[in-house]
Amino acid sequence: MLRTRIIPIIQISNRALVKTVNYKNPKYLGDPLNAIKIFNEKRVDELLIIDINAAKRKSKIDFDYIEELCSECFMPIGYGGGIETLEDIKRLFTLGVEKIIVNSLIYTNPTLIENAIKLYGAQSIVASIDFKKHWLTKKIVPYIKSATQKINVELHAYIKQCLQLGVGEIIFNNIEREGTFKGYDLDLIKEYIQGLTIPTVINGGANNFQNLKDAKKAGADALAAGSFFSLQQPHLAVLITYLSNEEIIEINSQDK
Amino acid sequence: MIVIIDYGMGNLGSIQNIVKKAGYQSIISNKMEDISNADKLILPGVGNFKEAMINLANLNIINILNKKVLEDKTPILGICLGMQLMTSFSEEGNVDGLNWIKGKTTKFKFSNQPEIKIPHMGWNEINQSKNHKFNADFETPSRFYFVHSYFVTCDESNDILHQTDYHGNFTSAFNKENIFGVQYHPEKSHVFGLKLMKNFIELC
Repeated sequence: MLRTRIIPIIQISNRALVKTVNYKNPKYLGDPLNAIKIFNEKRVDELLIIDINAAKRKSKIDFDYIEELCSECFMPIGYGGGIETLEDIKRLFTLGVEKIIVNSLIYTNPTLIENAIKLYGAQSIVASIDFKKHWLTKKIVPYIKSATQKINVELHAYIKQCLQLGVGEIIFNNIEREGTFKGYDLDLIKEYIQGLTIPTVINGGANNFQNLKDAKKAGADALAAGSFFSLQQPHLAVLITYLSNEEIIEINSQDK
Repeated sequence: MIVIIDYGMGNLGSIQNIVKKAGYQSIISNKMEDISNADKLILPGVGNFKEAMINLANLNIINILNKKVLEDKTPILGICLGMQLMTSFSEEGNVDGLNWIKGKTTKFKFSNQPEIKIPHMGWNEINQSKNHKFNADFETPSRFYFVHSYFVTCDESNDILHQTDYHGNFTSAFNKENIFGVQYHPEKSHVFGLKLMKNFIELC
């Protein structure tokens, strides 16, 4: 049967491996190429590469570097950051990227997403939604622009927009948990992923093996993590790691 | 020379990358001359079946492919859509395929189970349906990365090479003489894919 995908996320900024907490204050961890080589040796199910600085950079996507990273990857690669045109998307596919991760574009240029899906198929376009509980209304609302700009709709409505665009998959990023090791917020996520007919990936807060098992039980199709696979608790020393084969078998042997 | 056929569909760079990792040079081409001189052919593909057939026709390479595959018996590996194109017919666009393998390509249907997601996406295991050097020294279990909404059903059970379980078994690889097709993506399947590419290049 199909395995639940366990997906490390690496954040890069100007060719450095970095890690944020709540999508803020990127801390330098090392060389992305080394991390990728280790993840490749560990046979990770899939890898997401997010360039957190590309949108702000004048030159946008660092195609040469993405190509270099992809040449070390014999697993599916998702890329997000600084994507603006169909030409960008086409070029990324040619370099060896399988999945294009769109975030701010869902709000700023939905037509581009629709066109990309028409050309390349739903399975290659993934919506990434950053969300947070509003401090006053307690509503769950999506954010764009590296989690800095709030969108004034409820998360359910935003998910519906993504489905209407036809994306093949949705990644749910919990801003308040990201990089905190507080555990996935499963009660919250259950409400949003149940009943969705496309694959769902959850991200933000993963802290231990039990938490990943619980997340699978909660109904997620794939489990993503950044800090959990690149920093060691409690002192947050850099350590690129992945689940053992036994742990993966255990996660997959339990039902949803 | 290994020739990766470029007909405007799919991730050719990744395939060239894994061929290189296996220790071999390849070229990406749609020129009649290159195809004609190839020792091994790879037919990749991601996307729509009908569109792919139109592209092959517009490039005027179907005749030379038929000659290479059916007369010269040059080994050819179809990957994902490339495998599906080798069948007689696809529901995707209701068009005829290359008809090298008797069988058809249809869409996954789980009408009574809406919770089953389509596409079939992610890592899944394969079961070998027949012994073949293509499978030589595979790790057990071997797993591969899949992403597809359509799948192949062979008319001849003897053509089935691998099967995979996604709420029922389907054909995840087929073989007839020099013709090989895999539904999964060896180029994205770590050491499992690398082994498969090596076997295809060195043993088939």
